[in-house]
Amino acid sequence: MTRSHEPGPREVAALHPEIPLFILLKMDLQRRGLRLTPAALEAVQDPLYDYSRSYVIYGQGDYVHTGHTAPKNAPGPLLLRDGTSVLVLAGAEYNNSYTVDHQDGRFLLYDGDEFLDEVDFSPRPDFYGKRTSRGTPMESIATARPQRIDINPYRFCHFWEGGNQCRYCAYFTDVTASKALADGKFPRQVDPEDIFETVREALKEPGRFSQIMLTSGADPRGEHTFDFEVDRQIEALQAIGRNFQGRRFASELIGCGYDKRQLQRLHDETGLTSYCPDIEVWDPKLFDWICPGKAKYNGRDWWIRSALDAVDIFGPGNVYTNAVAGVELAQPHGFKTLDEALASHFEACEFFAKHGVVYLSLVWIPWRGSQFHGQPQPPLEFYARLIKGLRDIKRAYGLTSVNDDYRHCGNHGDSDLERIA
Amino acid sequence: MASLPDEVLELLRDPASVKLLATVDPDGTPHLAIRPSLTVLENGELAFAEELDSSELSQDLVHAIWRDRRVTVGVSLGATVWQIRARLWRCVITGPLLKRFLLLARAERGPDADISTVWVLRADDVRDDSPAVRRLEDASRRPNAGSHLDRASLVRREA
Ligand code: SF4
Repeated sequence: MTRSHEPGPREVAALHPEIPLFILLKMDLQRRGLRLTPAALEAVQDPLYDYSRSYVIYGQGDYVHTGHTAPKNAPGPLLLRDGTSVLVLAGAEYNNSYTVDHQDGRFLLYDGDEFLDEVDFSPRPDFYGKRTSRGTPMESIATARPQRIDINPYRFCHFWEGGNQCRYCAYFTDVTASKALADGKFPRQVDPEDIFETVREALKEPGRFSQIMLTSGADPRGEHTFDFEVDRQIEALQAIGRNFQGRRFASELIGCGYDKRQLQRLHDETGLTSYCPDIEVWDPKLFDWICPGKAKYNGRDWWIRSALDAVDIFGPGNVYTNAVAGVELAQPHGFKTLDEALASHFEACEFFAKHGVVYLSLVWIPWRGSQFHGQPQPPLEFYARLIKGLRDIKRAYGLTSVNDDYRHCGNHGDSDLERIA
Repeated sequence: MASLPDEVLELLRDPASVKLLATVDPDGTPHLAIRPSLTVLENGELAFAEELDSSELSQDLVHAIWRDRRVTVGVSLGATVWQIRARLWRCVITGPLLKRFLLLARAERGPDADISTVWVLRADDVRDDSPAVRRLEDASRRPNAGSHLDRASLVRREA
């Protein structure tokens, strides 16, 4: 018997046979979260899996009953057998979670009592546990996805000042573990030399990484809006670039909406290959309600213009924008029906695709720490219809998510579907 | 998972063997690929390295693992041919197995060699497809069927 009473991956797969069960399972894992049994929690302390002290599991929730009172290190992203990665923080249970157990040397995924499949976790990268020449733990500078290095050059979002943060966001709300990881030092701005050395070390591991992603909290300060943020990104990208012989390296910057001059600087002064200003919510009224910081600096049209301008600079297919799919259904102001929400996504995708921008969906999680905590998520079938519709639109325009595919990002069901052309 | 005879294990580990993969694409069109890196792992699973996600073979393999379809592996040396029907078990994009195949590729082809994926397969069944073996089997099942009467082993030649 499963613990879930709403249609799960198998039922949705029967309704939408063109969507592989693996991708439905991934999206449902993102929706519902993942807990580890005591055996699995013990198994991920193995040096192969022991991902980082940056995500620790304390003796909370279900673990109270298991006798784990000391913090345990969490594993990295979950990997399904088809190579699909699931960026779910094991142990951060939030919605009728799936369970991973460890038996006979294998990780096994369950929904309640029902066995689903054998799974694995992304291995710990070799640079974890090492320090830069300034003594900074490298795992406090960069984190690892299965094939991607993630770096936050600036660990604060100024939209939170005055309560202008995006309503679904819980970024930087709990940095206790991150601070502990950085030996108590957690400056907002990361030293570019630490970034250079961390990337240099990470590249020593054969075949571990094929892309570098930068993102930071928003910083609208500067002579022109976001100038400070752009200066910082350029500094970080230049530091990373010193590790490569060629001019460009596979990279993505998830940043704020920049003006043409800022975009040109990013292109000309660094080795950046792709840019992603996130629109988050397409509907104009909902954008203003859900993303007040973005509305204030400098509004929805500015953020859209920025993506479109970037295509002239980085080229069609090298500019992305993410939607946090599901937040447009948040109440009291959100859409009242799934069909309205889907129509809004498809309109956005079509608009961006026409201009060479790849529109991608993310599964919304109403995180603790966000203003939307406690709001109900849309059902899995909503995400199934969404990713199929988005894939079809982008395919019609000849767009693929090379920089944001299953291998590099792993956060988007719609780009997972693109694995078969 | 079917266990493989020692002769097949040896053939799979022999660099001189020809190793083939037969797949079909989502439209049912068959596709054949030679993959010299195909070998057998310590636990009996088959594995090989794939260089590009965009290759026809990669696309077919994604289709096969998503739809739980089988693929066929052929391994041959001289007159010996074995055929293994297998299921895609895992698409490995990170971790020790990927590293192992990548280092092998770089040892063979130089430090710029690259692979994207190691595909792992589990054998469902295996059969000796060598012509001599097939002929013997056919002769025992269908004696006198289909062979030409002028074969040296049948015809009495004048001295
Ligand atoms: S821009 Fe919005 S989503 Fe990004 S960190 Fe700031 S508040 Fe969060």
